[in-house]
Amino acid sequence: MKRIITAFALAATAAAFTAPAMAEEAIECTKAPVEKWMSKDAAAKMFTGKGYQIRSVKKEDSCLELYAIKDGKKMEIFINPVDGKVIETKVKN
Amino acid sequence: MSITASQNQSLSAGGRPATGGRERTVRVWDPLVRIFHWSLVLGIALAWLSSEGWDRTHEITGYIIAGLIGFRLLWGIVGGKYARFAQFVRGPRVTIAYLKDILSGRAKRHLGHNPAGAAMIVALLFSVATTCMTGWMMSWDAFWGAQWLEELHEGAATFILLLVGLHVAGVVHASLSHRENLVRAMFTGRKRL
Repeated sequence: MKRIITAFALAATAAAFTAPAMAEEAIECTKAPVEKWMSKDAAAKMFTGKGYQIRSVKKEDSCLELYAIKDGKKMEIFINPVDGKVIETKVKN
Repeated sequence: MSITASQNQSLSAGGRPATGGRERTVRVWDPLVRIFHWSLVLGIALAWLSSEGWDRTHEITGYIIAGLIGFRLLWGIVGGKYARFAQFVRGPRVTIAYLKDILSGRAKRHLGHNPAGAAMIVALLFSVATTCMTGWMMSWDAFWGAQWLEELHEGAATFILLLVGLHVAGVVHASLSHRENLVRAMFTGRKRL
């Protein structure tokens, strides 16, 4: 019994230390300071009218992350907040 | 209720079981309650670990946890004696009085859940259910990108962590003050009479 409890305690400790390591590495979109970034509205405008429905835009590390729906598919689009280039698109299935 | 009396029933002069001798215990936590408890522990740990970028794992874990909560709600109605909500859930007056007793060091021992533990179970079930529900809703088309929902989900999940800390503290405190190992009891299901 002691052994099981010790194992659990060890597992919990290991988990606490593993958590930061398991966090996904942040995508780098720009090195430019936030003052140089386009506004969230401007980011959304780049996509509206091209069949994208932009639900929300948020700052995610060095990227602007857009929650979009296109052709019924939900996706997260990470863009360079300075030039608007798409860095990564995660389609939700 | 089954009672096991072990070979060594000899009592010391003081009337307490002799040290090293085995005590008379009864089964309090049924197997499903115990499996539920430790599965929930593992599930919540896994949900936390997978919350940053392990989306698929995180979602599957969330559905499993939701299933566990659903089971426990049902078991709280149709389960065995000590699993039933009616056996342990108490009103605010009794609960607050018991919390005060804990602070003044004269909280009574309960064979099943004590009123503070019962309140913790209700709080945990509620916050885990809220976390599951909001997490699931985040995948709905209607709520795609809804930041308020994400904040509610993360807030509820953080609240679980706070409750877990209090829960563990309560278990340690009750174990020390009543000289019994409640963690072991949640593994074996048995407590001394």
